[in-house]
Amino acid sequence: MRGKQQMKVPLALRVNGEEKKIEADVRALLVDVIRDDLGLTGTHVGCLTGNCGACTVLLNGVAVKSCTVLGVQADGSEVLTIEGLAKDGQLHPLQKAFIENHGLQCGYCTPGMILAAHELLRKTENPSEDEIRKGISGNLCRCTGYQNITKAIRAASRAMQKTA
Amino acid sequence: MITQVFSYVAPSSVDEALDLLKKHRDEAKIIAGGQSLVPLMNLGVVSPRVIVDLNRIKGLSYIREDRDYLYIGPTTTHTTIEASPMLVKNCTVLSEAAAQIADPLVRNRGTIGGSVCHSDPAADYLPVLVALDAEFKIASPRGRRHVHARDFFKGPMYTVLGTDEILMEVKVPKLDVGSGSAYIKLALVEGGFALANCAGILRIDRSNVCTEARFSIGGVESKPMRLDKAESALTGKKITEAETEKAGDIVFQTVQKPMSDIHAEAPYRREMARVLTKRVIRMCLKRCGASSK
Repeated sequence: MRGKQQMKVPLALRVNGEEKKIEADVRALLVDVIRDDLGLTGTHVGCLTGNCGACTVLLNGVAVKSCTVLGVQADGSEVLTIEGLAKDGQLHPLQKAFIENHGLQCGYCTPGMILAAHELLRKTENPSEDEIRKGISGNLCRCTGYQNITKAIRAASRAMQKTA
Repeated sequence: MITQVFSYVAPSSVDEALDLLKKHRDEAKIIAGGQSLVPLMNLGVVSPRVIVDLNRIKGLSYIREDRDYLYIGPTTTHTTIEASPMLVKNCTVLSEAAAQIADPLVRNRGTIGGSVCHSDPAADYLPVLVALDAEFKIASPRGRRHVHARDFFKGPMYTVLGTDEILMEVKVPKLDVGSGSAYIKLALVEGGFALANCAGILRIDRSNVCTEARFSIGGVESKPMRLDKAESALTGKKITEAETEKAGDIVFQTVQKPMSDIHAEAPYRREMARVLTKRVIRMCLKRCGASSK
């Protein structure tokens, strides 16, 4: 690499409701910014090719795979990670449902899976089994075989309809 | 993480973007949804020196209509295309294809412009756009030009676009109420890359005679194939099951250079071109209210 190229860029983000200003490497992916610059390690890296979904977060309210977004692209944006789902110490219905329905084993896919489910329930109020499976088709789980995951999502959907 | 250093610019106008491409030529790469580019950069397969982000340019994400056509902006996401009432009503096959791209998360970022310019032979939109006779509007420092979909794709990840050109708009026709259209993808998993895919549009008149047939196969050769011979064989005839079989045979013969890779060998792809053509014909017939007997 010839010469000195600029490697740090200023980023301003609103993460889980808090304003953050950082100096990030221009090459950093959004998942790198979240994990390394902001210390929020609930978001995981599984593939770096946009396949596994372990890096799923909400970017401006929309679920995306943060390993496919450059950190610089998120300048001025709002990010919600798994750490931001619980409100005032109260777990989100999805988080409760995953615990109660044994929707995880190792937990590696879980933050991404929950945020993908969050996206599904945002778009579809009472998803069918088929819609649930399609909704999480971007999230791979190596442990569970998905049955308790879809069970948990169904339970969360019912719980969220009750309180709506 | 990406190891190769790059400079990142997010211009606020198309002219600014074109200036950057003109200045940096093949050292620059456009980013829209990043669903193809960023994974490739993560893998170290591509290392652009300059990234030109289109996302801060206003007015590139839209779906508009006039009496006969629909106009889609290049940074319109697959999610938007999948759900657009305008497209579902007037050009269902395009929404149907968008809905099968990857998964909901990828669809939230991926764009039609990115998919078209990336020109992956397995991409879902490609045969649909070729079958629809879509037209692409392209901007460069020299002005604007229009290219038909069937002339646009040259090979794997290779189009007619120059290094200083930006895809500005995708124009597709509104399909007649009496026509039936379908898109089918053959993949190993839900949302997986197509081993073969097929898009078709059929128009049948009141005596069940085919007045218009438009078909395209993707994923088999290294760019989408327009199935002219099969179309000629179907047009002007009542499409019975025998005619459907004949069309499939023609497609089988037409495939010249099917791809071979770890997912599917060439003979299989050639056979799938036949199978998918027949399935799409049957689906189109059903959807325009006719049936093959």
